[in-house]
Amino acid sequence: MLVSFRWLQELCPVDADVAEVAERLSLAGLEVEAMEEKGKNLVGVVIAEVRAKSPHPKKDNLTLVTVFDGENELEVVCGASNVPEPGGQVLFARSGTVLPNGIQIAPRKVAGVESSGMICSETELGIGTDGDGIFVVDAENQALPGVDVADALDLHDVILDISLTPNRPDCLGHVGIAREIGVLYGVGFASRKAAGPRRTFAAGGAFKSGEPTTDLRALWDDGSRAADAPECPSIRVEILDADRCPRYGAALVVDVRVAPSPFWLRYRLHNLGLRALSNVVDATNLILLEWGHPIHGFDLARLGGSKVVVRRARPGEKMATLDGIERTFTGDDLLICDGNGPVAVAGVMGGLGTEIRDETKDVLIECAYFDPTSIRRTSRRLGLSTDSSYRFERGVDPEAVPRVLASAASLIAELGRGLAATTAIDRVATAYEARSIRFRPARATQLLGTPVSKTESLRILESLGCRIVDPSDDAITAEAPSWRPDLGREVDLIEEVARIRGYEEIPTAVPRVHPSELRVGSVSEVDRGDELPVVRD
Amino acid sequence: MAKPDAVQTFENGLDEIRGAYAEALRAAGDEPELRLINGRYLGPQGELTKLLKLMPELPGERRRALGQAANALKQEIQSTFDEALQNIHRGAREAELTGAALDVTLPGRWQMPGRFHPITRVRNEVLEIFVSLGFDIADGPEVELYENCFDKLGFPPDHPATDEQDTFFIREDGASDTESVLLRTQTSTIQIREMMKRQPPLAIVSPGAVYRRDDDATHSPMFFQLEGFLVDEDVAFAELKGVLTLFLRRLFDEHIAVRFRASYFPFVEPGGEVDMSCVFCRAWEGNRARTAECRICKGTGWMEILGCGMIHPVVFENVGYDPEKYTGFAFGMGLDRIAMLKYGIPNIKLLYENDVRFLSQF
Repeated sequence: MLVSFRWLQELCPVDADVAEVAERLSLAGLEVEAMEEKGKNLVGVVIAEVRAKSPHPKKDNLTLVTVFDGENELEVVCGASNVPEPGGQVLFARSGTVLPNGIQIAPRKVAGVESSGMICSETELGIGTDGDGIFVVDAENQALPGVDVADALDLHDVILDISLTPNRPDCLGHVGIAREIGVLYGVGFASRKAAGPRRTFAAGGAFKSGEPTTDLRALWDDGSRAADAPECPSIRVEILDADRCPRYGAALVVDVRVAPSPFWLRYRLHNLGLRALSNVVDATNLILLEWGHPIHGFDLARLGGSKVVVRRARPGEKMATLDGIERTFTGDDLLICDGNGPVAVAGVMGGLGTEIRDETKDVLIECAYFDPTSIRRTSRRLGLSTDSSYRFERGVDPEAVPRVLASAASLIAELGRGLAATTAIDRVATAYEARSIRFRPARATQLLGTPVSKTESLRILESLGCRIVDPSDDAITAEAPSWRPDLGREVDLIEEVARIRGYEEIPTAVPRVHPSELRVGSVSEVDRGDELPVVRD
Repeated sequence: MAKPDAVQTFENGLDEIRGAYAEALRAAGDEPELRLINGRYLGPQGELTKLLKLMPELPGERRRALGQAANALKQEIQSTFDEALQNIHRGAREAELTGAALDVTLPGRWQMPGRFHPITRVRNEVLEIFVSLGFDIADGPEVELYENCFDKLGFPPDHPATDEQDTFFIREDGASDTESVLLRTQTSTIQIREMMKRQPPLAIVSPGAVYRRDDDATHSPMFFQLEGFLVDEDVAFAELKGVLTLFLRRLFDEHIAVRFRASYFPFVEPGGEVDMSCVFCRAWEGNRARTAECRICKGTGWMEILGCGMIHPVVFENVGYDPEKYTGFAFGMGLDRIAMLKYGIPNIKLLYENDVRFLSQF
């Protein structure tokens, strides 16, 4: 998984450089396979202001642009059709610059006109995937002409490529890895509240009466300005398969304007290997990368009957998924349906009919917990492995649903300038029960071969998020945190203690090996054509 | 009734042979060629032989005379052949006597001695070290039950952990994987087989071929692993560290550093991976500049060498051991990888192509 070090530092600041953090993570089982520093290979690319522009005398598809790069006014020939009016800012590669794609910028004649330097697009600088036109600096990133692009657009980051073992779904998001860093550095980790949306409304009639709801305001950082409740149909959520879908939450953001995302968001997604599409879709992806919990946005206007039904498919039932392919389901597949029929393959991929489009106004955000094996079977049967199915089949945190919804509603409302409902539906069909685990420090001492004290065990288990139910002397009883489905028995906790202390803390010893009665000759007696001296019954 | 034209065919045949054989035989340059030409007349499919097979079709009154003529011709051919053969032999002898003298000091023809394949060499070296530590050697089948390869080792059914090992199935059972038969993907199956047969204390190593659906510069669909495990009362992680550190230092260099990292395999807990000092830039010698440029360890000075951990209690439960009474450790390594590191072999394919230019270097 690709991880932004910058983002980790925002979530859990530690006083250590990236190489050291990477090594600590690797030793603790989150193997960092590669690191890539971003924003350092753009020396010579600066912010420049457009001073004048005029058509090229010979070719109509070219524009002559006069830019000021902080030192000089230069004339450049530009082939893009989106050159801003004078006063606008662009990214300018001075003569002599070597771009990340290997192109060296040198003064040259373009159709008879001298051009010195180049106005760049996102793709040419490797900071995005938009290669259609030049990059025009938006209002919030404007800077003095001559400032390095890496500083002006704040491109500095280090991307870590972490190879995660299948037992650690909690680390499939930045929050989980930040939590791990907090434990390893002993600084603790408290997941922070999401910034509150600017405008909210009391859901009131938006949810059908009797729907179980959760108050998101407690999960937002600051008070927001409440607006009048908009006209909205009453939404309802039904779960017909409580085993496959123990919990289903839905938040509502209305009056959203779907538009391209701001640069910081597009850049972050690009660095983490995802393609920016539109603010609402990008927000769902950012939430996935933050929490490791997949969410899905439905266009509420296209959700028939304003209701969501989670049920198993009828054999042969069909639906077109977001990738445009019509899928046929078996009775073993779990579907999300509206009043008319399927609208998403639960935990795998949304349906084409209810996807977020440019004209979408109201967004219903799904955040659920699905049974891992059910998602895995469906994903394998459909040959469809997605960022979503990958996480659900390893096990997301069932208790994170309200927090993830609060973050998602806040972010979508912010980016789309919409109104977030202050409550969200939170239907629990099967309540989560924490696993209670008995942990004996003496057993840990025996298994690891080094003293493990009760005090230290308690400290480590608590820092991991375990709830200590009974701290008796010889056997601690602890409840595993809901985000760690891999912790189920004593030996799992012993591993945690060893892992957090560091395997290097365990001494080395040479075991006594009881000679076997089956002892056989030495390997050096093995000659060509002879069999190995194998023990026989 | 004899065919009217049989006599004609027979006579024409004899004439043809008579007219051509002498010249043909005398033109032969060496013995094989001469014998080949002779065969064309007198061999089982030879022209004269074919004619003789026509004898029964000849009318009685002519049969005797023509038969005699044919036999006479046969003898003529034979003596011409003998004469030509003698000439050839004489010529060869002549050439030997007048030509360059035989160099009796030339080396004789010899057979290339066979030698151990690099994987076999490494396997024996590794086994030697473990046998000296008191481990026994065990063996197990490459065609295995799904149960022994996954279920009993604690792989949860329908779990992504099985994704990491793409399996070749011999017989896939639709209803449940458990009944399926496959080519083992890991030598860890030997833990199950030996523990089901014996009681602790146990210290066993087992080398062997394993199979996975992987094929590129660093993966071969068949490769070799070595599994080792030790079960007894009171076995600790510290002893796992001790045994593996000792093993790696004996195998590679007594000065290498060894470090243990946490990792995950379903059948061990706590589980880990072992790194050792890079043997290409000889990181333990502390030449930082050389390590920084090392492409094998990417400048880190470390290379991954094996996986290990304390045997998971669920494995003990599956083989009928009491996990409260017994503890143990297990480890597994790729013999191919060790051979590649030990001899600096860049591509795993070289190990399986059987190119004698490669193999003769070991």
